[in-house]
Amino acid sequence: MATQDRLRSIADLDVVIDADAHISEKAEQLVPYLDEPYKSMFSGGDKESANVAKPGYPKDELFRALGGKLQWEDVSTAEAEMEAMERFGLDHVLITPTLNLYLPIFSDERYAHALSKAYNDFVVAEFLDDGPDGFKAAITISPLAPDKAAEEIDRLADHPDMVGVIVGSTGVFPPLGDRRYDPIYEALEDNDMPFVLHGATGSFTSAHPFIKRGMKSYGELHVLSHPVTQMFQMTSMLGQGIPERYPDIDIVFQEAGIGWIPFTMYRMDNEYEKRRSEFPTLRKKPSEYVKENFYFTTQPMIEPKQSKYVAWFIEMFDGTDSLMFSTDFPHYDFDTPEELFNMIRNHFGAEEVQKVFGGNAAEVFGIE
Amino acid sequence: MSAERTRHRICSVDELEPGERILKTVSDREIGVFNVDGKFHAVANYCVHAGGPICEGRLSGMVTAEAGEWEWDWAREGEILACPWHGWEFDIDSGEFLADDQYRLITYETEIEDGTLYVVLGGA
Ligand code: FES
Repeated sequence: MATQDRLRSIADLDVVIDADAHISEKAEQLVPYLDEPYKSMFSGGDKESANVAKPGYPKDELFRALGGKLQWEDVSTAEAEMEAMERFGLDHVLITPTLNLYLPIFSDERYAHALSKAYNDFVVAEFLDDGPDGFKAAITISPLAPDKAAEEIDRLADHPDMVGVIVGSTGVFPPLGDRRYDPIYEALEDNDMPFVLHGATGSFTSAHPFIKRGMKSYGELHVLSHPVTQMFQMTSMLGQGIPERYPDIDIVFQEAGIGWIPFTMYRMDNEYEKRRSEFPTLRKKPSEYVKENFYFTTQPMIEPKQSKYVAWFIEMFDGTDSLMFSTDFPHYDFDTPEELFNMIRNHFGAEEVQKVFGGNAAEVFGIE
Repeated sequence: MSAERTRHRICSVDELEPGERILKTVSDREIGVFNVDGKFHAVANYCVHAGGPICEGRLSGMVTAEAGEWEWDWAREGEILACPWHGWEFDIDSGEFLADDQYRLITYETEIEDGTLYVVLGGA
């Protein structure tokens, strides 16, 4: 552990980048940006009938807002996002979707692709082109038609504020090590963009139906949803050698906290050591790829009362080189910069803490 | 609290009906005062989890389960204050966090004199 100078206050941070700043886009906001035939299909008909009034994202019976105990803030406009930046002292935000994380579980790959395009155009028009310099976003893709997703990446990769590509990682099946996704990885490589994976609890209904059906509340389900999603995708990507085949692509796992990272990578090392002939693509231990190619956003920080345990988790995967602070605001389990700062500042040197709050994200997303 | 005991006017008692709340800044602290069925509770508007605006949260009840019972119930309507940020639930009277009694909200005494409601700071 570094013993050099420590940062004393959050004001000592050079820059704070929120690497997972959700907007809460509403289905109706996307309709004007939809390609035909979907635009016309959603413009007419009986507004009371569910799938005519607006695009039909999946729903479930879970009590997300705890009957009003939780306030679910609406961040569907640039103004609301600017207020969030001010409230938490954020210099840059990586805008990520909410509803459009559900695209992987759609049945119709045409429709999912049309929604991803509409969402991206909505973000460009209503956030990036009008918003402050601090707004950055990732191109949202649907994985269902990988060739079309690659076209979407090519279409928008030159936008100066589009700094990565994001996919809702819950429900991507087969998982992301499968060769059907090669067009996506090639487009990422060609356009020199990081690949961002973000789970969605709401997708569990169809992504992992037995887990959803077995968990009786949002809370039970949410213990598992993000880490299980990311473990499933990471294991597939490592097992099939994605970081060996595409060594220049930085891969960012969001919103699963940090505890699962050392667990997964050391468990995978163990399989690799004992069953190496099942992983012939790999040239080194899975954990080494994790340390070199993979990045992680911090929220939700697990909160043991002794912060030294958090520091130990971080050290187990050289986390100060790969962690990126994130709020996840406006979702109910968001973190504030102070929470993370107070947890790590006594355990790491100034330079390491600066990297976690902005340096790592600036490097991966090319933010100046 | 070691500072000197001071008393601060919040409002007249009739201005705060049962079920209502009022938010006031009193010597640099934001304090919420709640009338729960005629009983007054004063709470600092600062959630001990991460500083959220606890006094803006929903005041309602809690879900309970009697040992051994399969059915769940709703109890203590009006006594449980939930933080709008991450949902931590507190007993509005004692300030205690329901999931871990090591945490509690900062609460203040209230006093009524001649139809005026006061909160008392310090001197405890
Ligand atoms: S700030 Fe109140 S629950 Fe987190």
